Amino acid sequence: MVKIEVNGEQRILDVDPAMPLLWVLREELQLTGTKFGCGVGLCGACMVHLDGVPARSCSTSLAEVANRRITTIEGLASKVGKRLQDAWVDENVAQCGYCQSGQIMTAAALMASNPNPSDQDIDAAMSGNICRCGTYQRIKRAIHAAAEAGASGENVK
Amino acid sequence: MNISRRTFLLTGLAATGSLAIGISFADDKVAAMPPYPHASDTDLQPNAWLQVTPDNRIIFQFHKAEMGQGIMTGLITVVAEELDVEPATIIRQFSGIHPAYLNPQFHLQVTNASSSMITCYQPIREAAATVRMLLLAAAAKTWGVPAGELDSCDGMVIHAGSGQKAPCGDFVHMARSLPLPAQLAFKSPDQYRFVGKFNRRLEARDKTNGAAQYGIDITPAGTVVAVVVRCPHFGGKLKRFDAAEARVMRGVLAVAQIDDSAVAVAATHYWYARQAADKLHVEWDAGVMQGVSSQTIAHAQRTALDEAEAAAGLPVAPGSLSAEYTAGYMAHAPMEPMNATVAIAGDKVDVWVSTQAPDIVRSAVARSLGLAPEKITVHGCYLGGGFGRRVIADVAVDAAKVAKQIGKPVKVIWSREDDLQHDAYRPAVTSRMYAELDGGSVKSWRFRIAGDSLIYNLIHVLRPVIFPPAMPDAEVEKIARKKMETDDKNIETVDHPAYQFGQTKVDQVFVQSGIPVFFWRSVGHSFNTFFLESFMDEMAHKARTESLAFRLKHLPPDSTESKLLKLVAEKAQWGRAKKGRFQGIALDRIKGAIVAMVAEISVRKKAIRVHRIVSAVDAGRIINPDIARSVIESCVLWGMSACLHDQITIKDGRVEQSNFHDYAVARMDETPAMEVHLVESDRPPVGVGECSVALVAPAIGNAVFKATGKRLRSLPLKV
Repeated sequence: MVKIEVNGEQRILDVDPAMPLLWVLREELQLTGTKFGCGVGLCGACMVHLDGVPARSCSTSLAEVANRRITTIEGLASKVGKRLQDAWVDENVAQCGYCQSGQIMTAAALMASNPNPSDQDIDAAMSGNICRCGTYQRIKRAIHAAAEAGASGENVK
Repeated sequence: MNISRRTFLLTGLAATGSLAIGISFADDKVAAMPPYPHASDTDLQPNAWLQVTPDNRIIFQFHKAEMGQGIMTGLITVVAEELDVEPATIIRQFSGIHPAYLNPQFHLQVTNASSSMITCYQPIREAAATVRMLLLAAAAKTWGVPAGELDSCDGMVIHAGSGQKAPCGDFVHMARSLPLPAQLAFKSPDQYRFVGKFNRRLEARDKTNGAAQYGIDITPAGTVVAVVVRCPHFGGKLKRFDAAEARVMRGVLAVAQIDDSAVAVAATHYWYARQAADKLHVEWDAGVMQGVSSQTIAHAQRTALDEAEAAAGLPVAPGSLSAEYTAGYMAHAPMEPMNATVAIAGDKVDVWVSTQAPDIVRSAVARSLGLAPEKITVHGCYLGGGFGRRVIADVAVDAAKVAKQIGKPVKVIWSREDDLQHDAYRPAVTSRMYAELDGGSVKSWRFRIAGDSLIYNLIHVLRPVIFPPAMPDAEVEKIARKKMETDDKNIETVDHPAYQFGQTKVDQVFVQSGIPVFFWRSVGHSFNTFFLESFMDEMAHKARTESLAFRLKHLPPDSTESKLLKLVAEKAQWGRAKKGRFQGIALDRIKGAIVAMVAEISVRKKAIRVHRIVSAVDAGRIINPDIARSVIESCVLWGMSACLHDQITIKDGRVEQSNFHDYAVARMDETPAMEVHLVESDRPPVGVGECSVALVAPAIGNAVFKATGKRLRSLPLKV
């Protein structure tokens, strides 16, 4: 039995503690917003937050996250997160959309520590996330837009 | 080619669908038109796409695959315009399969070949106009006023003269009994509220909060998860396997051979199944492909070209220009790994799968289970990328086989390694070009290409849907080989170049490697546009003419192609790159779209850095300008990713790459600034999902030549 906190809820899980968090989220907790992309930490589709820090859930075992605070795309409730989601919609970022949960989780973690990132900061933080639709230019634009909205204190939609 | 152009085109087109084999499959289907999957006794439902409910809801049946290209928003924008309602107020449902939804280009319910907008625009406009006219006619009858005095807006019917106003739903009952309008009236473009203006992707919010459901996210109650361990050698077989260790592992429910080259492991969770699969002891028979490598395939292609050249015996003028170009295999690698869920209940089967071709899935699953296609329901969902890969029903067949064997609903999930090693690839090809120049003009141009036949592979992919289930393999193989004669995919774009050359001769030779090949975003253009547009610069160089001027010299002065080249040159500041930057230019015409592109690059220590890519595009009337721009940017990144990174290579008849570490794709830190200039056009809309893929490689390659003096003649590009 492993105890974790997911999106503010305590969960007790009876699966192999070596199981990657990704599959615990998707198959035990039905939180399917976190995606399987490569399984080996190369694409970022499975990005979640562990105590606010971005982590690849495909390469993080359940045992490693015991008693830690996990946030998935479904639980992304911070102002920064909401601003990013709004900016994603406004900038028409998503195409197939499959990688975008991971992109937004990575961007939200970036902005939590760096509210007004430069292009270089964004490249450095986001280049671990693959998008096969090639939406990178718009992701960058959306992050800047969310930063601006945050700076001007604009309300989230 | 000794067949006339027209005949050839018609045959070529038919070859991609069921008509290829002379069976009037589509007609058979249409003859017995079944009720709509969403049929209702109370709604106004004059066609397969639209229904209006008595409580004034408008429902749109979405029959296509939304895989990122934005077609769901595009079609609903067209509907919204004719119905004069906000697009977001239209309820969207995945339609399921119905003969009314057959793609007229292919006679299948398939989303491919940038064909959705070009084939659906008019029928869907008509469907919406019909609904609007029926509602107005019903209101006219109810109120006793001429229909011509009525207007409708935002779900209300309005009679300005009397001030009467009522929801459209109020007239549904009456409208159901009225005859279809004899002549349709469409909104005039100057009154458009949405077409050309509406820029909001309708499913955007769901794709930012985790709510959008892809095939992999759908799990009916009681479903178990399976992984498939398949022979890594194409055409290879399973010799024997020992599952003793795997069977006793935690969560494992069953281990079973599902065909002559694969074993499935089913478990309660994906990870348990994957762990157990790693403990299987399997022995493979590599089969006939042992010893086949990328090198042997390329050698066979060169030999075939040598032989074809010798047989043709065409003269080679002194001082003429010739070059050999090649392109490697490419995987599709959509972000959502291949997966499918199948639940069998008696003779009723449900399938959940991200697919571009639900009717291929239906027939393939039916064939593997020995059932009639009508017994299979394929449920719709979003696709985590398609790019041509999701026309193939292989993973759904895997799931059907496992579900049947273990007697439980099963979700089969392929790993990324499975995806890269069991794709059907963009073919590797070798081409040779020859040109004779005369005073700076191309007097004659010859092109010959060798590679695998896409149509041959397509016939095998379509087998379940175009042939009777009992047709023997040998017969299918015979037809597939026969259909190669009509295969024009490997000569796409070069068989009708935009340029006016004195004499043109295009030939091809098929060299069947045994590697499965398939349609990959932009298909034959993905290599031929690279070949032609790079060679254009080679010819320009030989003619001592600047690249843009050389192209314009070979195009009609008032052509769209000329205008787009001039526009893109102006927007990209052609010829005025700053120090250390170099520009290359290219042109393509694909699926009705015409695109010109300039790439700006630098080269440092043999590394190509792309700084800026500017596109000028004529795609007919644009429905959603910003979505079109975003998808054209996607094409550019796809083209750049493919030409600057890894390729799929073959050794011993198997793929050497396994994941994104050795099959790298473009990432954010290498993304160039992209600009897309859409030109105004009176032509009907065409698709943009492939339009600007194929120009990227030659635009970059032509710039690299300017930067280094080195002509790159192989894809992917390496300095």
